[in-house]
Amino acid sequence: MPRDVVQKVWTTLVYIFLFAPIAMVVVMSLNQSRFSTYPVTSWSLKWYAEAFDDPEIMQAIGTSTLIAIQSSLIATVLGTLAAIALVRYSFRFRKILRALFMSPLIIPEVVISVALLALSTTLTLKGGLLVIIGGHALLGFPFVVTVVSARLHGFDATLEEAAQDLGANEPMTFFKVTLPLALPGIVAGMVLAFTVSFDNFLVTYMNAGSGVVTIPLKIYSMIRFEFSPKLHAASTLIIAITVGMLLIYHLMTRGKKSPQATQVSDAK
Amino acid sequence: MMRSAAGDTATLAADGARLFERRRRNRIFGLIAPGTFWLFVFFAVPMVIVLRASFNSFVDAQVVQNFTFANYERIFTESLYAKILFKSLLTGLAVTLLCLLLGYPVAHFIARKAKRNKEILFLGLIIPFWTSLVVRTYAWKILLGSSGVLNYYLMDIGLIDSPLKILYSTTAVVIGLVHVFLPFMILPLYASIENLDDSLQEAAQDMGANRVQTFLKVVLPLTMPGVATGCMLTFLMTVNSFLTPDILGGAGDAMISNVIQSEFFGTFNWPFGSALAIVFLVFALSFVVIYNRMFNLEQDEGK
Amino acid sequence: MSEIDVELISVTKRWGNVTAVKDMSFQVKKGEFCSLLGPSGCGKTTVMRMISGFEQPTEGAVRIAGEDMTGKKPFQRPTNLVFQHHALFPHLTVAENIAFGLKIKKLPREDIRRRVADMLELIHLPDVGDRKISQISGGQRQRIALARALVNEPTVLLLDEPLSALDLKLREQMQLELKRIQNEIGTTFVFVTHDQKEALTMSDVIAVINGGVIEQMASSSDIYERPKTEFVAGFIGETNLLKGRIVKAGGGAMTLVCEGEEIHVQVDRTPEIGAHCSVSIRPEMIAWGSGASDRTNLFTATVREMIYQGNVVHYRVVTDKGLEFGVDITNSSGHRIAAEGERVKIGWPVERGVALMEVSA
Repeated sequence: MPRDVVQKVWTTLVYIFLFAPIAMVVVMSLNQSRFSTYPVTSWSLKWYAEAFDDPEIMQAIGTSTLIAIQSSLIATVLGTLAAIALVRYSFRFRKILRALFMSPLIIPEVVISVALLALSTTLTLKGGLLVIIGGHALLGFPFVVTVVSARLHGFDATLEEAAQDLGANEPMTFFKVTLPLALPGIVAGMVLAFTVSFDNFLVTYMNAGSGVVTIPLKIYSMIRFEFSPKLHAASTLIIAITVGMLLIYHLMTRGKKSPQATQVSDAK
Repeated sequence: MMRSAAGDTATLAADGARLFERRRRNRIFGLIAPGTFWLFVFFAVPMVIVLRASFNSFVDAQVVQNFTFANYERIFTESLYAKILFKSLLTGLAVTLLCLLLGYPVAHFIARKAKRNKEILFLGLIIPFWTSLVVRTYAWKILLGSSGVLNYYLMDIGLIDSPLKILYSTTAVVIGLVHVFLPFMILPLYASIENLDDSLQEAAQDMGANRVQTFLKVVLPLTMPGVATGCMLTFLMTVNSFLTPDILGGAGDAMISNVIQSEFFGTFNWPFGSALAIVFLVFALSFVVIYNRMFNLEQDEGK
Repeated sequence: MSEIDVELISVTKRWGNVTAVKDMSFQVKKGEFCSLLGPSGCGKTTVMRMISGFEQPTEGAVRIAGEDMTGKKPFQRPTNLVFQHHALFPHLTVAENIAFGLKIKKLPREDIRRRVADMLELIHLPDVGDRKISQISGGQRQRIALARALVNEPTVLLLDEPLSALDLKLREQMQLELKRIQNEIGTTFVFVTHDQKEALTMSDVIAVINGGVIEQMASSSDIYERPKTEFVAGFIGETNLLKGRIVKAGGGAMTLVCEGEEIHVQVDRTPEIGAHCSVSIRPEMIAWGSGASDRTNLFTATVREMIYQGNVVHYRVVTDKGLEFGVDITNSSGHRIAAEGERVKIGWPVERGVALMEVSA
């Protein structure tokens, strides 16, 4: 049908638009030539070698990873607890609290960065790791809340009631029933928070001080001062890491049918 | 005999119920306290500091403790800031509209037509979404540059003779922003369209509506929540953006975030920067609240 | 005197302004199959949750086997609950589900294995132990939920509308299964349902609950044949409720006038003349009549509607004075089916009707 063809073509074009820059970076990273020109005449992995040899790039990746691990752990703990409260209990300020927890998504990142700046000056830190990790955790927190909430919605409180009825007290119920069932959501949330932290620019840029260089910051400075295909190689590495995280997330959030579904299908 | 037993048990029960209630409250508190504390320490309290700082003065490149509204006056009187706000809003509008026009057919296609490949297409949408913003933005810099891919191909085909100066212009910024936020628009649209009941469209067609009419009278109105959410997200995020105008834009393309950042690290006028931040925050929050009221959006649990 | 396994003493449950259960008291004897029957929102689920420990009474007390349960949580009570939607743990196998409670009690592994196997035998599903819940069919799941609860040998087994999610055929099968198992094991069962037929099929005792209050608690036959309130009469099975004014009373009998017709009914106490009252008469108790007497209520009526239902023919008849009621006549051989518009003589023996003095809430 002609209308379908139009939609197919449109969609294809949009997807090309979305992937073109990324594809280009990957392609360029393999370009023998130093200049980001077209067409690619010869291929080479030498830029990757240079990227790996560059201590600043490697250190930046390391710093990013360390910060991301720490901030995502914090965000995951905070977010999981919050999600349990929001989904399993009803109380007066629940709606307001949920909006509050989601607020880092709405508040402009520059404002958050300024706030953190105020915090670090008041504590007379010169930017630095503490504030950045704290800020990244703040940014990742709503993501964890959202994902874990979704997962908790997928199975209902009667499973926890059943556990209690069978003799498990509250801590036992949590570890034997709630946690195992919520785990895919928790892992997915952590992966999301990791990515948010790993890719973050503005908060880090405005609060890094002199010592902290994350990979987005390094890439930014390379754009200005050290523009070479080594940049493309480093970027491709980052893309690979991020896509890897994404695939883990995807596996966690689809996979088996949610437990609730098995109960509903009984009626059939 | 029953009655005295009931009397005793009444107080016992009331105590038991109270104890339960108290334990339950404690548990809820314990669960929400860490997150709330974090928000408090890393945002709420610092914002109070920022608010206080916004009343300071900046004299001879030094911060001076003071209590003045001068900074706020400046924001609301100097035409520069109105211009920047206007430019940011306009850019937001343009990007949102473009994303909507480009994205709706795609969302529709994935939701309704691509039965087999739905998952792959969905994944394909998310990958650029999660690729680092810095990387994507500088990639556009290369793409749109004078010796970049786009110009190369345009000249190769013969459409133009000399390279187009796209980079460092509003056009480049818009292109970059559309690229970044297109998935933000498509995803809620997709969710909304997917949830449409097939039977509604069939009913419309049964009553004689052709495809265009069915679309306008059934599909579009029912997917309005998805459209509203997508537009709000896209608009808000565009107005908030920093990197894209910074890397792809020219001197006149600075948006609100760029201005604030340069006050802090360019001019070092922290009081004024603080005032800008406060005003921006109020603006962003008001927008969301008003928008939600207007479109009666409810927060979805989960995605 | 047989032991009382479940006792509610003046239990009230309030949530803010809403009172779900009002000063309710009842007892369930050891080994009884007791149903809590009532429409949605009547409070029966709340009562169940207070017995099992998921809610605490606002006033009053719950006793299980004589022990006061105030303040005790579900895992501290000798009760087990079969949930409406089975609530089986999806991340555990069938055997692991059943063994859950036993593992918490830290029983030796051999004991657990044996008891799980015995349970699977009891519910006629000996081979499914190692399967995951997603691999089990709907009907089997409810049985496994039952096994998971029973294996802990609770003093009282609570069942919260466990069959309402099943389709009709399966439900009827399960009703018989449950009755069989209860007979075999002898545990006290407290069963919540809104389906009166289900309650009648399975129970020794039924408590009919409406608006947070027990309207009547009695055996199945008493509930059906001797309802105490209009609500009970109307909720269980079909009935005709004929409302009227009392004109004569005395000697264990009473006459009331309804739509101009006189209706005689037996009473166990003498009511006031002039008071209003209703008589419940079940459609199947009414038959074609011949001779009138003071032992029969007989009327001349016209058939307004005839609905052929296969094994039963349902008629709506109207007497000459305007009293209308429904009649069910078994379509057995020899009985002529009356046509619409036909004039018939129809009535019932006086002792079949039930006088309802109490007006339900």
